Amino acid sequence: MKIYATSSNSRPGHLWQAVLTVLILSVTGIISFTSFGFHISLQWLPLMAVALWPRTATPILSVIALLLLGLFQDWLGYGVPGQWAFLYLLLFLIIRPFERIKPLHFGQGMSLWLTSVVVGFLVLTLTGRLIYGVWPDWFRLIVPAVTATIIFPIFWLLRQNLQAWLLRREEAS
Amino acid sequence: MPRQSYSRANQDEFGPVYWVLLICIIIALALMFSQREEARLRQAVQVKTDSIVSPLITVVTQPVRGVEDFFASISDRQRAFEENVVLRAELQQLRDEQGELALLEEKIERYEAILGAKPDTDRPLKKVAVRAISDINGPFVRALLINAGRKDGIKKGQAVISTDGIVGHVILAGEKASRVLRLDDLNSRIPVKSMRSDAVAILAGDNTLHPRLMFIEIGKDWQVGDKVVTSGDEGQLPRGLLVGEVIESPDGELRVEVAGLQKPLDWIWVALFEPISLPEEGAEEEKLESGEVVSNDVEALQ
Repeated sequence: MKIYATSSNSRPGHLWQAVLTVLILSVTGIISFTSFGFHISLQWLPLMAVALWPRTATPILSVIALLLLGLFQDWLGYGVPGQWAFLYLLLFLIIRPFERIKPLHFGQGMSLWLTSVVVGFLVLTLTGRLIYGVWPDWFRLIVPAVTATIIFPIFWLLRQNLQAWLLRREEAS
Repeated sequence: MPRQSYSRANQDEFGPVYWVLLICIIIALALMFSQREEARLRQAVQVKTDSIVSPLITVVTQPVRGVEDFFASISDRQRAFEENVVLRAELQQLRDEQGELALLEEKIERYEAILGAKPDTDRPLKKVAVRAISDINGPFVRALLINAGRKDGIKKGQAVISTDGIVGHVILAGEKASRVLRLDDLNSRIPVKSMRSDAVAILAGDNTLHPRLMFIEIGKDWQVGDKVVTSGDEGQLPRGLLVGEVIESPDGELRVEVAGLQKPLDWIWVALFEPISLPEEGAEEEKLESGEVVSNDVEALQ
């Protein structure tokens, strides 16, 4: 497998693929449905793509993209602008994908995701408390996180296949 | 965190990245604490983008709505026989009541003719059927995105109702899509009254399906089980739309079980109600200054 130099700022790396993934998952994330009285929301799906942000993506452009993607997520969820943007950026600061030198294996990916869930939970709870002056509806906060955790292995599998396909294409060209 | 996969050798070259990151975090925080509800940025951007993205959202949510309807229809079929029996009994009763109502209507019309009164119930006559294409049920936000906007006659402040009662009101009307603030949202405040006692209060959303009754006057008669309707005060919402029923929370607080929010929302209606506009500020003063009002009054007295 090709190992990319992570310090390159001259090429976008896999930035556009990552941005596109977050955008698709953000739009998919607005799906919420109630079946047999149980409300399911997919609002946390884009956080998976942020947690697994490609290490080859240009760091500075990634930061700007994450700010804009977070604002887009805030708009979709009708939240206060900046809440999801702050979460994405803080997560980027904690995970620092641009400093990663090796590709992740599933266990590492899962541990990054669980870290993201904890950070997401804390950020949304505390910022929400500061902005709205109330504690969140815990059920509505936990259900999307659990749903995304269940979906995570499928997302991982798709990501790996897509990554392999992209590498094959790049090598061929 | 997989620390062994990280490089510590070339951290210095990432200095600018951390600076950009810090600036972006400050921007996000500044936006968060300055752009609260009804912020200018949200309105300007959202009104435009809602109209663009709403067809996409409709396509994305279509299969989900289909599955939801399928499961709902299974539950409905299971209850169909029992409901049929109940409905037959209700139909019989309603036929009797219909006859009585016709008589009463005739009587009222006669009284109105005698008194020369023009009572207006404010109940909207015209409604637009719309689809709730996105039901935002976040930890802090309860809103809907509907697939109709100014083009269909929808304006800010209009009531949104389901078959069971009012569910919220329009807060942003775009060209082809609008945003609806649900009654259970933290920012929702609507004037309501008890159908039984006519006591008024403010229904305040608090992110639960049972919003609180606030600003109840001391001594006003509110009881558990009272049917609650919109009072029409402030002239923003039509009067008499069913909201729900009064319940008591375990801590003794009076709350309302909102009838319109007990089921998933799909097809709903927007009541094309024209809010009562406020008199123009200064108009009366100008008239007084020019003596127009005084002369009119004198004419009326003569």
